[in-house]
Amino acid sequence: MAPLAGCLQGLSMLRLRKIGKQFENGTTALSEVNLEIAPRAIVSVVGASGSGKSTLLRIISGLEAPTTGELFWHGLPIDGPRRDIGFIFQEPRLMPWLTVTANVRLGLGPIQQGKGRRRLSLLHQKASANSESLAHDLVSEAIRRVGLDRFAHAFPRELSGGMAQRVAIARALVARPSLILLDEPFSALDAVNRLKLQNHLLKLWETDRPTLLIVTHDVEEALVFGDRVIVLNGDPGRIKDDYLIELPRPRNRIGPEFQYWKETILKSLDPSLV
Amino acid sequence: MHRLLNPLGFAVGQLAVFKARAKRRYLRHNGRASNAEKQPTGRGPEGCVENGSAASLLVSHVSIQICSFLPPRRRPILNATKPKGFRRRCTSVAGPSAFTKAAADTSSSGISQTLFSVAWARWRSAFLGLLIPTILVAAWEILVRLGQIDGSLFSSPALIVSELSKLIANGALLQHLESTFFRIVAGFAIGVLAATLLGALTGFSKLGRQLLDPLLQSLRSIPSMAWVPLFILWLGINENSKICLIALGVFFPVYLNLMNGVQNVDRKLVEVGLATGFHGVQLMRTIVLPASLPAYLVGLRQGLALGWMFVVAAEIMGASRGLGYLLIDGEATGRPAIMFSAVILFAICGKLTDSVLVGLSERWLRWQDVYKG
Repeated sequence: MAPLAGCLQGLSMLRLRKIGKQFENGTTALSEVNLEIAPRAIVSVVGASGSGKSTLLRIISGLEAPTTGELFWHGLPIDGPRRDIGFIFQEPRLMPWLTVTANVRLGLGPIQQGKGRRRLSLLHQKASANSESLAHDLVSEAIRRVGLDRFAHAFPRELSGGMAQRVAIARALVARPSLILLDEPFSALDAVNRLKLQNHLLKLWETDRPTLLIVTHDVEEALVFGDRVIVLNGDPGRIKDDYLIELPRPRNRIGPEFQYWKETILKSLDPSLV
Repeated sequence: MHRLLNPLGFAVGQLAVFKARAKRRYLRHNGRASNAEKQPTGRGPEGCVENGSAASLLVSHVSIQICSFLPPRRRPILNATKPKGFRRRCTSVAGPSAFTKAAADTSSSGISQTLFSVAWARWRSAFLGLLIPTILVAAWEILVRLGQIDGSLFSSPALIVSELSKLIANGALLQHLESTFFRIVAGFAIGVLAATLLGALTGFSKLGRQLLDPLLQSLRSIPSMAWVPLFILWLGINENSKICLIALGVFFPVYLNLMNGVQNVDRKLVEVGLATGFHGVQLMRTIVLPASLPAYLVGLRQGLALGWMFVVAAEIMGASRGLGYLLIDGEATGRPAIMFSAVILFAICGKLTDSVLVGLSERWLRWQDVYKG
């Protein structure tokens, strides 16, 4: 682990230093987590439930503040949610009163929401018209990329679970964030949809290669995605192992190397298992 | 052979279908044996839509599945029920001439029968809603005429109608309605505005809630009628005191519902907003307020109902116009028909304004995935 950390030091986009989180009821979710993430990498985090995986993600996204330690984003401390960090939740979490288009548009953040508002100055009008058309292009592009053009004006209640999750992916991708956090994004889907969506996400990732940080409890999913797999062990959550997975993409799920890594990680998660 | 079996001149296929239907009842729903049957080809059995006049309006049939246990019901699609542009568009092989021929030999009674069924489909719910009131009014009228009810206490509906038409004729009713509506609209607007601002603030901000909510809750527990003398003292017996009283009545239900609605917004949706960089007023406007809209609309309806209650109180406490004044005037001059008129008008106005809010709710809450009953 030490040489790996050393070689990534210069390039890190996100750095966590001695992050700890203690909840109000006294339980310690994370303690002394040190982590560096290089740009354009896919990092998977696995761990048993209750090992603080989700908490780690929420701290990075700025939804929760750590009790101890610091976070650095390109060398600067983070103190809240950022537009260039996207978040895909376990559930789609779509706004039921907005159409697919409007839901995806939310991902552009507050500035792009002022649709059709009047501006007094001519210059402003022109600028807002420009940004309006840009926003429109970005949104329809994102919807097209997840293959939902036909449902652009549908409401969330008209979508299936897999489609709704694809809208959530489009919402996270639309602002072209450089880091996307995924909190067990496929765990609520059926097996076929999960496979489909995993492949789809990988294909999307290939085009502009944002950094992905995926939290999952599924070791296979972690291996399909990860250039690096981090194993957290619980109570209190801390990093136990950090594996560099140098398998070619697309990953062969039934190859012997894949199986080797799967076994290794399972063993690391719980030595009594294998 | 066909002629023998077919004295009424059915198409052969159709006859077979009718026979089969008569024998096996579950086949009755089964629209047609072939596409040729899309258009009426002859007389069907008694009461069949294809017979006579209806044929001129009949375009096709549609099968409607009402319940999975029942066979699909067959319903005619009639020309008159279609949007203008699609009327009289004929899809049969015979072309439009079949329509004109059918139209030519229709009797006028048949047409009116068909139009009735169209109107019935449209106004069914209105008719059902008015059914029981109509029966009650009729019973009331009959009982008064028979002398079973004292007409000097319960004026007969006919008398009420004649009083009402007198009021309409001399223009007094319009004036009363005008001033009552002015009061309720002004009071409702002020009450809703204040409640929306304060409810959103106390729902959204913990500090705001700690500062304002105890005060507002204790004001709420003052019986509203207790404010009447104070308002008269402060503002005099004029429109201002009345509008203030109505606004006060409207304020609390709207405020409480909105505050609760905002507090109960799904944390997960708010997190989506936070993670994409929304905060403060923008978060409120984009996510929190739309999410609490259902609760807010319930508050508006309750507020409106209280508004009507308070407009009566305000007009009884001293007014020279308005429905409440009409009520008091009827009492003072011993004319129960006038009092009944005022009460009925209150019922109608209250129902109409509430229907406006219901209509708005349905429009704004179309996105909801709810059981519609």
